[in-house]
Amino acid sequence: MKLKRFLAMTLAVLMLALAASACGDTPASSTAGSSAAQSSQAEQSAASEQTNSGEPTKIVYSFIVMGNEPADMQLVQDAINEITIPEIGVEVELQATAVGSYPEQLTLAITGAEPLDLLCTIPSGSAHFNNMTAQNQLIALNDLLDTYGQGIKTEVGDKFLEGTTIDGSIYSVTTLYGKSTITYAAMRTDILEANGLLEDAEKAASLTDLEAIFTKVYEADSSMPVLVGSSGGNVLNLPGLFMSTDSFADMPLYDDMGDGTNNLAVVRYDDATKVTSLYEAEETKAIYDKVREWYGNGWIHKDASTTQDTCQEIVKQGKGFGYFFLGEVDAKTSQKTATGYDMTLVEIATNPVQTGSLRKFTWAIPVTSQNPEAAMKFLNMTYSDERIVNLLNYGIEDTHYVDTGDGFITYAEGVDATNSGWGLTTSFLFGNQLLAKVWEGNEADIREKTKELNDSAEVSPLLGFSFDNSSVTNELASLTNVISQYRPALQSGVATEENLDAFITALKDAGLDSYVNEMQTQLDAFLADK
Amino acid sequence: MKRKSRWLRLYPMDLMVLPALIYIIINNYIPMYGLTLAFKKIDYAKGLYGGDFVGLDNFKFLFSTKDAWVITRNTLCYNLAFIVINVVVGILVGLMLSEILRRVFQRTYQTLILLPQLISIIIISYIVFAFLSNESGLINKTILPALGLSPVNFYNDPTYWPFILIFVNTWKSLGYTSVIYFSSIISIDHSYYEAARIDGAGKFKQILHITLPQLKPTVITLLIMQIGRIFYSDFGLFYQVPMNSGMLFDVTNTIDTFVYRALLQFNDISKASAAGAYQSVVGFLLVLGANALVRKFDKESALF
Repeated sequence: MKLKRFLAMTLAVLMLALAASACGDTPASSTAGSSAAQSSQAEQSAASEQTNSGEPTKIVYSFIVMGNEPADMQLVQDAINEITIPEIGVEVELQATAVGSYPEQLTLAITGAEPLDLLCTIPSGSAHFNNMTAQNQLIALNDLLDTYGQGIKTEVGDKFLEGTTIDGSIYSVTTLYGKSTITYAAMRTDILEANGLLEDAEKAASLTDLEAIFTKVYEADSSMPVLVGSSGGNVLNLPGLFMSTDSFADMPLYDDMGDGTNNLAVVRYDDATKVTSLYEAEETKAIYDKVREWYGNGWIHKDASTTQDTCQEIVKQGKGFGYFFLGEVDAKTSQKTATGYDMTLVEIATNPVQTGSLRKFTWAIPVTSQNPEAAMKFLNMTYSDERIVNLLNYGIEDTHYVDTGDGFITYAEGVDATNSGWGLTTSFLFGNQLLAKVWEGNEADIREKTKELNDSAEVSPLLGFSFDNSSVTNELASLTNVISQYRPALQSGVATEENLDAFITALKDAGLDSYVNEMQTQLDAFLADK
Repeated sequence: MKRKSRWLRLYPMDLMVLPALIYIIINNYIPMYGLTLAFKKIDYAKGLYGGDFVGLDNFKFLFSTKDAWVITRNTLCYNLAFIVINVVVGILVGLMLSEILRRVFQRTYQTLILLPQLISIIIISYIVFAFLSNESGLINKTILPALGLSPVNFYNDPTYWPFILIFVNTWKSLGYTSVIYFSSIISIDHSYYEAARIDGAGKFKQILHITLPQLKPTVITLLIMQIGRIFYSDFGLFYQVPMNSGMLFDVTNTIDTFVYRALLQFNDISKASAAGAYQSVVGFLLVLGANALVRKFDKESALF
């Protein structure tokens, strides 16, 4: 009898839960609720700011981390404040967020007007520069740069600032590291050596040369996929380059027009006034045909179209021999860190600096910032003050790292990658990488070399063009769905030839032509102004 | 005078309801203001609600392609299938549980079938992947070769997915639905069954003439509530479990996954609100409709 009553109660509770879940959670309602609560909090903090006008101005510096929040955040924050409070009157609060949740956290912080003064835009979802500017989430920095940002202006230079400029307003500052990107083929050195192919790999200059290597590697061990792709299945279709001809030297390059990962409409450098639709190009068909052939050979990872891992992670798991990727100058160290193996890299092509690559990782001030001047003062230091750059990159000297005495730094005694309180792997992120000390194992003159390459880098003739997609957002929403439906299978070779035709038909139905035409109209206007 | 005394008599009751009422107003009614976002262009410089009014512009992307038909069909058909199968299997398992006499076993089974409900859908998607993967899946690497069959590329072949999704959903939600029916079944008055036994009714007749009619109100309540959610889909089930594989979109794309993929690129809160508004308004109308239908045929069982 008691049990019966208990179960009746359970039923009632379950029903209530069901009812609550049925009407409680529309996405709009949750944001609205939290924003009401947060904005009052922001008002409070703004009020307290004014009363303490003699005190240093407090700003929040928000950055991404690849894993958990570093353990010694407070130590590094204190060390930074020891410099910034006396010198520029700014007290910095560091805020680390895991890269996966960063876009959502940014949106929440800005809609809720939480204290946030400096943020990094990253090439992912709503945290992308293009999205943040399209929704007016960032303030124009021109005046602030003139007053407080002279260090940024000299270090970054007008050339690179143009990439983050829209209609004359500079909305963010690109992080300074090697800005040229290179398309590479990467292969495991140990397997190459075991098969006596190392020399062949080092002098490979065409897809045929690579195919010869792949054939031999596959013959030697057919249980492991020769080629793997990152999530989305892109085995051979990397942005910026048509890998459609045999010889690397002849491969046509294009500007991806800064539209992130869709690459719907691009401009080829050999015809730099005309917007073309990437997926209709003959070159794209040639790439997809090649990948299908390779898939048929058994070379490609069979789960490539659905994998959620990056190609480096798959190689790390011992499930792949090589991959194609778009990387920075001298990417050997980064690939070794990511895969755990020595990788032999074959350079396929160097892409000119484009709007899209300058907009990948940038620093900006959100519209909700209460202290844009203080934020700019600190941002300027992250681009011009070695002490701040090294603190953010490596932590505190003698605690987290030590000077080796010959121009390099390495882990302090008893510290390694697993237990460091400031073991960040995001060194490309903080302001001006060219001021950072050089970690042991890199080339000693890497900073000078990178600077030289940046200064001499070829620049896309379309740098500074910014596509305003606000009149085609409905088309873009549908097009994005079509791309996620067809592209992964095509890029990983699983799809049949008919799939490409179906893909193009679906894109046309979703409004591809009006998207391309809109971009052409804007490009014509841009070129006419120039 | 009479009125006042009535109020005085009942005010403790009103006071008791008050906290719940306040909670519902704060949690469920005030946020409805957020629906206005669906009709505005989001502009953070003007504040969350300060954007310009754009009418029904934000709704357009939902209906502009032939995907509109596919996602509506998939959402509705899967939900109908889930509702029917969950009722049938839920009652069946609830009955079986109620027939187990040893409390220990009853409890054990109940816990075991409830467990999948508590597993994160991401983990479930990898359990499914462990069966279906090309490179290392149990079915492709062990079972099919043992039977002398060639491997199947599950994540590129839509044929199997309606079954796989329904199977996974049933497996996941079985514990939850069966517990509701189980608790209703054991609260049925035992004297009915005693009377039936005296009249010579067997087990099957007892179920048919006593258990099922007694379960009717529970079934109808659950049904109406599920009909209200018929325009929503379990995002994890349709996005994570098929590993977001494009080749399966014909049978896995639902309103929620479509909206997610469409807005992933530019994260437009207004468009997301428009989709949410569309789903909840249609759901609300369907609940009213379903309840009206029930009222017409069986006034006692109607929800309101």
